[in-house]
Amino acid sequence: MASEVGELVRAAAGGDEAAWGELVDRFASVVWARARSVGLSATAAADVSQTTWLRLAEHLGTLREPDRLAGWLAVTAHREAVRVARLEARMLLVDPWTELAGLSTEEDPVARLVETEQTVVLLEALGQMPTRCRELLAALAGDPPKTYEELARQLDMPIGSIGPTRARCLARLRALVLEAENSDYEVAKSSRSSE
Amino acid sequence: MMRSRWSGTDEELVDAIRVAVSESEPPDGIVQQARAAFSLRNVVAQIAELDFDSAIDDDDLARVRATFGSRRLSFRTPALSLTIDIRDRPRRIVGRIEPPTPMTIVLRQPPAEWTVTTDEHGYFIFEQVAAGAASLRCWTPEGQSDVETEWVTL
Repeated sequence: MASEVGELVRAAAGGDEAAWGELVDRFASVVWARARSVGLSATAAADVSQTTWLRLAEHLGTLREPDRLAGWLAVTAHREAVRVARLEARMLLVDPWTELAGLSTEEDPVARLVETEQTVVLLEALGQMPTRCRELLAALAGDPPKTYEELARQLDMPIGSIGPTRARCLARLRALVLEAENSDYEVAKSSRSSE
Repeated sequence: MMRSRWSGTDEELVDAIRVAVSESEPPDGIVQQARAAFSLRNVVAQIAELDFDSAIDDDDLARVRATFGSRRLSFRTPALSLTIDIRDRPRRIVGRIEPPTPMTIVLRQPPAEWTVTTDEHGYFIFEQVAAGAASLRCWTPEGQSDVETEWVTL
């Protein structure tokens, strides 16, 4: 299943712009969630997102594990966000006004971190699902939720197959997120340069 | 604690998807930038990899440099190295190619580009540099060398 992503990477490396567009559709939210996870401003997070995608364009042909693109993007965006956060923190040292503005954080940083991890893991898994499942899950998670009749029409599926397909896709998604959580933390995972 | 979230009912998983997707939906501009990155991919130049960044690689030095509001990055290929110091306020880049080589240097900050040439010692300067994703492309007049740095965020 994950090889759908690998095929898109290989096609994009060969110059297929539509394949690139599909990779962006699948994973822009992963990169964006990561870019924002260390508390950067929206402008800085936008820069981090752009750098991450430019890096991918540059490395398309040399990725060790194209199938694991989701993890590669999350790690690259995370590292770049940390870099930029450090630079912004350095600015705080020399700019008391920015520092004062930065002090007013009422959120619990640990809870926020855990939530971000869960969000990114889930978004990575969603991006790796087969197209049919992604469409169905996106429609199911729409706000407000759609009825099976509406889903059947939108996805051009027999109404009787929506329930079983939904169950199968959710089981697959659950397996992917559990697998991601049981492996080491993303950053550690990617620094292994296996295969 | 984290695992229980995924071991719940299918309805809970669908709710989690709804929340994750709605919280992380990137603005249109972000998606467009990501799409546009494809047209900037390098197909000819050799990549000079980032091998030092004072923002993360050297805490002591970074602290010293912080006093002067500058960040150092260096990039490397087997044949040459490229070091840049980025000064803040106003942001400017002072760079050097080693060994010193007459080269044309293009600072790429999509969608803009600026071009300078090195002096006889391999130095070059970009003034009034904006924040954002950036890469340098460097080539010799005779085309023996054509190098592009990894993308970084300035």
